Amino acid sequence: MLGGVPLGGDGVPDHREIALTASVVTVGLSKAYGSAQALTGVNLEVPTGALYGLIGPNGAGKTTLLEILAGLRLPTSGDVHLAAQGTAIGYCSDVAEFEPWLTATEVIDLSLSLLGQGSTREAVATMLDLVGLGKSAHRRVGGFSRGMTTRLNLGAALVARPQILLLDEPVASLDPLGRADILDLLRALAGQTTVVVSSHDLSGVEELCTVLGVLVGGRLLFQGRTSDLLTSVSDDRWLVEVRPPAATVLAMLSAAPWVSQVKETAPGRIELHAPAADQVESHLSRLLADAGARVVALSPVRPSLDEAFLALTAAPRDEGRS
Amino acid sequence: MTVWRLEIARLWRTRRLVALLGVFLVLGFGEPVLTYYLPQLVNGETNGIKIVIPPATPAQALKGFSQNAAQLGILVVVIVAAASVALDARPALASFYRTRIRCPSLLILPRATAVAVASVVGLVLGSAAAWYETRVLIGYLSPARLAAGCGLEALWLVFSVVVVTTWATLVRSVLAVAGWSLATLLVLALLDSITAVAPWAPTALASGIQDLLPGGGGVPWRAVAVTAAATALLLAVATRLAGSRRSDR
Repeated sequence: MLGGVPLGGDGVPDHREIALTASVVTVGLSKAYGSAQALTGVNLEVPTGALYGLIGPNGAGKTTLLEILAGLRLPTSGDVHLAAQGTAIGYCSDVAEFEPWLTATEVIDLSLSLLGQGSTREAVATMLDLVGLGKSAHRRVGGFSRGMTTRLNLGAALVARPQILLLDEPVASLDPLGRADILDLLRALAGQTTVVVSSHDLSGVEELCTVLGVLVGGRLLFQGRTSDLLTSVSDDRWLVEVRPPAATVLAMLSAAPWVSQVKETAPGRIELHAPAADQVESHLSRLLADAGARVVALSPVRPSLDEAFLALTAAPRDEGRS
Repeated sequence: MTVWRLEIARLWRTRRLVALLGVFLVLGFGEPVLTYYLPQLVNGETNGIKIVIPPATPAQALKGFSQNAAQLGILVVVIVAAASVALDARPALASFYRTRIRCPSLLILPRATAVAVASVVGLVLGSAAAWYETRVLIGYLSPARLAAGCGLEALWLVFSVVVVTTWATLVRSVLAVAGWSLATLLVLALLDSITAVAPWAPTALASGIQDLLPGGGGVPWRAVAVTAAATALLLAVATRLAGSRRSDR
């Protein structure tokens, strides 16, 4: 159970080790910049060893929340509990920057040294290989592309094997290959390191994270398993793909009483809405057989995290517009 | 790579060391030459007015070096120091250091020390160059007096670097840090014009070499004490401020 350990006297997050099943906990965390409220009563709970995705639109307060967890900002009110000591918390800001006159090897070496850990040439080389910078190990980072700097940022955080890793938009500036590499790297940390990833890349988060927090307007609208968020969005859509032409199938589906809406989104690709799943399961295959259709694919449409996110945030956005 | 090696690399790879050593060496080699040839350049008759400049003395040459080091030298030192110690001028880079260094003194002390040491080395080399050129061109002067005066000016340089470091914990951009630091040193120089305050003002040390040359005022002990105490105090304040600083401020 989570204990209510207050912030230290100077307002700095309390890093005392406490027995938690969650490694990162905030209780009623709020942050205001003058009259602008960035965070309001955020109760974050990140299970130990989880890959936690923090998603939300621009200005939702994700970076502020991560910076408070990293000790770079002070909350206006609320408690922060981290089940790790200061240097056991790794942080990657969304915009990475290093001394341009250092080489990649020196940056990783420096990172270890600043964290009070001894470094070996092998450990530094291994980390650079891991983040895909092995061939640029002795290049000065001032000449690195943004994607390479992002990889180096991750390497500099990972090299000290942190217990808690806070990542702000870690794949935002990476090409698809780089993105896949980094997602694989993070996936491999599951169970060993508690990772909090803030990202706009919802498909990446869906692929990577088992637990999610949805932050909108500084409030945590949802927190729980990714699968729970996806199933919470009721979806009555089915996808039917037949060899074109699909006119006969389309006509028969339009006439079926258990179908509420049907449309052909591409030649032979039909999307239908049917509120009762059992009706679809009972009648759809027979209808297709009666229509003499050559079926290519038939499946319920699983909502994506994008759709679940949009559905979840629709109400607050609508309120904001009104 | 330790923070100390990082600072040596910063000085070397950013050419800041060249700027610091270069300015004092140029002044050290240049001033005695200028002093030596000045009578030849100026002496003459123009429109019936005859200008006569007496032959240069060793004290004049070193005084000229000291004056220029106190002006041009300190300007370069302040700019280089501001560029090195303005930790929060680049927020992303600052977060790299702040999320790793947990001892506040390590955030700024190595940066300030590296610039201060390089400045003092520059001053010593410049003074040695000035003494050598003066001896070759003009005449001999006791190196002991010069060394003692150099020590006073070195304390002034260290104090100036600490002033810059303190400002770096109060404002963020390099320009702001350099600007406020120069303004502070200028205010101190103005205080120097108040008779009652002058013997205590750190700026008295800026003319340390001149004070210890023949005809100078001797060691300004009160200014030495005030400057040493102020340097220690400002460093303690800067360390505390650097440690407690957050992105909000």
